[in-house]
Amino acid sequence: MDRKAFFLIAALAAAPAAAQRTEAQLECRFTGTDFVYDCALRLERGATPIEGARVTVGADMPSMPMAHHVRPVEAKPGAAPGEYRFRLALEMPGEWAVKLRLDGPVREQLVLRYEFDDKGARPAVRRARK
Amino acid sequence: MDAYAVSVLTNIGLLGFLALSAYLVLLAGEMSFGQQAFFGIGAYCGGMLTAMAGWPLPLAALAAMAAGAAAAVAVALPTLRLRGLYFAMATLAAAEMARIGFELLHWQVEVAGEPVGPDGTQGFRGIRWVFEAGLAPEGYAVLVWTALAAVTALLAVAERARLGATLRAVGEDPALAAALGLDVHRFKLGVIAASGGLAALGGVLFAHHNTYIEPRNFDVMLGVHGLAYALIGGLGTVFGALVGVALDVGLLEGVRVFQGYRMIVFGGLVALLLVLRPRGLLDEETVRWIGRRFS
Amino acid sequence: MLELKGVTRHFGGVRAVDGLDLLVPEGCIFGLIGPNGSGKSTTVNLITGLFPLTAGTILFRGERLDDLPTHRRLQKGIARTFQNIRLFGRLTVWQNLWVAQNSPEDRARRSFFARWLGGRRRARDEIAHLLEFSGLAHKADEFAANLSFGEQRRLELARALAARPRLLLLDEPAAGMNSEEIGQLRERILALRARGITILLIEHVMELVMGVTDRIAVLNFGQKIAEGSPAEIQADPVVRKAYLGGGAT
Repeated sequence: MDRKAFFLIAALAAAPAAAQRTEAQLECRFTGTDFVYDCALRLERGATPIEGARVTVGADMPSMPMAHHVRPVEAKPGAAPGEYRFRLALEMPGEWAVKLRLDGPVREQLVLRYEFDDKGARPAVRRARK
Repeated sequence: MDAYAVSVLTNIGLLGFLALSAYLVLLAGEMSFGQQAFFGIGAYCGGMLTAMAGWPLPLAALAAMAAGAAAAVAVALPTLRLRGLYFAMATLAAAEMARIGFELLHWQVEVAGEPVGPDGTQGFRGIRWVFEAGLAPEGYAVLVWTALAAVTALLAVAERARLGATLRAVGEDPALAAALGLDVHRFKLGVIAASGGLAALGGVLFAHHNTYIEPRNFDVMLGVHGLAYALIGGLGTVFGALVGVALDVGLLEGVRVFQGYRMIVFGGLVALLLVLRPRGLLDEETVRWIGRRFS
Repeated sequence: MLELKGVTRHFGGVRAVDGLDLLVPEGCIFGLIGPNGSGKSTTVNLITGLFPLTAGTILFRGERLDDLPTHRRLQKGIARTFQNIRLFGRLTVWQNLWVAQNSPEDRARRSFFARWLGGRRRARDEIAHLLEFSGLAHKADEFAANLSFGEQRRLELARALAARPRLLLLDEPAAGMNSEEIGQLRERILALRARGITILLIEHVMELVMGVTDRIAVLNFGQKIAEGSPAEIQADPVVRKAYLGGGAT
């Protein structure tokens, strides 16, 4: 049996909830200082907020992700359950792939694509090439 | 070790493969603006094999390298008869075609209740092999650097052997090399195949580091950087390419004052070096000088 | 050894070589002379395959040569030097000789891996011998680009020998040499013949040509106007008119 299948089955057997999808919502506010954003992240899994997770947030630019790579920050728990807050200092405005790594009760990794400008951040919309 | 430092180190390692692949093509006397395509092909192939087909990473990496080498030969066969600038342009065009190919690639399968696979411009997420294998970022950095060290050692040995001298000869004066009984075309094809495989290996490792790839990751900027690293670092030794990467990512990343102006600083540095040292920091003269000091 | 039959090469309207017949016997030093632009270097380039023939055939040891690519012709045992010195300037003297070891003997003697991935050790003796022969032993680790003119000429000859040729094409090897250097070159050429190498010598410098060759052919406007022993050529009135009247030494 290959390794991946083993881990999948192990994960499924250990926690049936693990099969559910982790949902993340990001809201960012421009601080006024160049390319620094205050962000709130909401995490849930199967409509249950994820609490007590250790969340690390990094960001890469889609063009040259290996060179434009922002120092990852650790998010702090926010006021609401499942909410995490962090400050993100980007190199420039534009589209970034925000990378989340969750540890603790839930182990997971997610990539969110957001467009950052002087108003804040919204999910990047991209036309599909047909 | 700081998590950030680990990720920067990993990135240097990943770009190292790209720079080495560009270096090989330069040694053979050609300039490719298309190495990003083979990096991308490696990333997509490797990602699809682990995430969609459930292959283990080492096997997927081998398959992706074969795909990268095959793609490089497929590009070189019709274009290698073109010389100099025309070859460079042809590789650029081919790489853009590959990128558009990634944008058109929609193929997802259900894995654990979720669709996984390339979804055109929306990218390809969920390349989770490393995560699921429980490999920590430090462990992955070690894996990337071990692979890079192995490849570099192999190239360093080949470079010191007659193969390396011959390759330099073919690159410097192909007509003369032919007049010495060397099959120039076959040599160049072989080198280009190796460079494609090397770029693809970097791509596989990149895809599994990032867990998410998209067509824009593999645009011409990536290839130009790979080429620039090889040129900055120098064409005298295989280590030059790695010095080039370390200079850009390491130094400029470390000195955050350049933030935002990074590309301008980098562009200026490349231009300056090409004027002052056309064959890079570690050019043949310098390498020989260093060699004498230590022999 | 080498036979050219009706060899012709046109560049646009110019007939650089026009219906040339030549027979170079084995073990001989054959001179090919003629005024500037008479087609001597073009002939060498046609023999080595730098460009294709317009018409005619070239035979080497009874085999057709003209339909083979350049590198295959050289593998058959033909080596050359260039009128304008051509070396790998970014390789050392030693490496220049190393990369030239592509003879059928070298291929047969060493496995693929030994030939390409083997280190310097295996080639050391042979290359040391070549360096000795050409008086470049003290420059072994110098880049070829940094050599003096005379040293570069000697390296070119040594490199041609590294290919263990049966036939050696020397394209104006004495150009730019003083008479002492020409004397040394002459000794080297005679030493090569003594080893059984057939030589086609293209040269302007009569001092060298008349002294070493067994037979000479004279080209003018791409055609052969005379052929014979050095003494016959020197006495030939047609040659004197075309060649010596052409202003060359």
